[in-house]
Amino acid sequence: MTEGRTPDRKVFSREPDRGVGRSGNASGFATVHFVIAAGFSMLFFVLLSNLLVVQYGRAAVRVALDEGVRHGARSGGDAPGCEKRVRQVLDGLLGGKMGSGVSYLCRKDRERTRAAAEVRFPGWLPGLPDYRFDMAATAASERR
Amino acid sequence: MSGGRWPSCRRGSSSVELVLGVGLILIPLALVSLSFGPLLQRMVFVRIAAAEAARELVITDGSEERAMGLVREIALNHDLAPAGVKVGFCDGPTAPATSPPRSSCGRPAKGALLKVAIAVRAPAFLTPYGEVGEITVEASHTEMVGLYRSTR
Repeated sequence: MTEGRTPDRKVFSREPDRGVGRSGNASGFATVHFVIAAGFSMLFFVLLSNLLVVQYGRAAVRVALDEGVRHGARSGGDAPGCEKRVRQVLDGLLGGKMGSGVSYLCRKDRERTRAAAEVRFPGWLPGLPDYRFDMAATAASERR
Repeated sequence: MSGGRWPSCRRGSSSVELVLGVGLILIPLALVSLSFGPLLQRMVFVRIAAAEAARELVITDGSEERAMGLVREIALNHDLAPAGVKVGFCDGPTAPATSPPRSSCGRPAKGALLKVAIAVRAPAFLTPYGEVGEITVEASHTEMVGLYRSTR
């Protein structure tokens, strides 16, 4: 019986593994890695989303200007009517803070109706510069 | 291969996989994605330019010079060089928007259909070293001269 227990005693008397025990240096290391990696991934995701939203905003301003000049170019149309139409389209597609960053102007003469916009979209991350660009649209004015 | 000539042949394989993955998949995919922007921009341009030029052609009783001037202005609005834009009238040959008008349509009669075709080249791929390949983006628009309009 005594000889039979000897191996069991050796098993229970074995020292704990240093890597798994509470005194190991790697304890909780993966959590720090994960938090840092997830944080940078989120920053990158926000940056990418910001770019996508800016592209959407560009398209919305383009559509609004084209719609405005078409409205103003018809017979009986005028520059205030063009600007009103631009505002209507922008309200529908680009409300809120982004929409307030768009300033525009329409002009109409006998041959052309033109609209121009200066756009400033704020960057979403601190330290990121604003997105600024100009856009223009032209349509042929209908003659009476 | 364990125990063979290279007992630990899987060591360092992740580095090779990373390089191959980034070089063969990620970078080409990013380049393809970036190339969509200029292509879509030109698609929007050719549609607008064709519609407005056809309308100008009808309004001005077939003045191709005025229509080409409008196309040039719309090209500049879209940050495109007018010399790279080709315009064709009434199924005639296309020529750069900066070339002299060709009178393909003639003086339009009431009820006539006036067609304007616009073509512009877009880069197939954008790389850090320049544009690779070309795609021609085209659009056409047909407008009818009003049957009851009073012409000059």
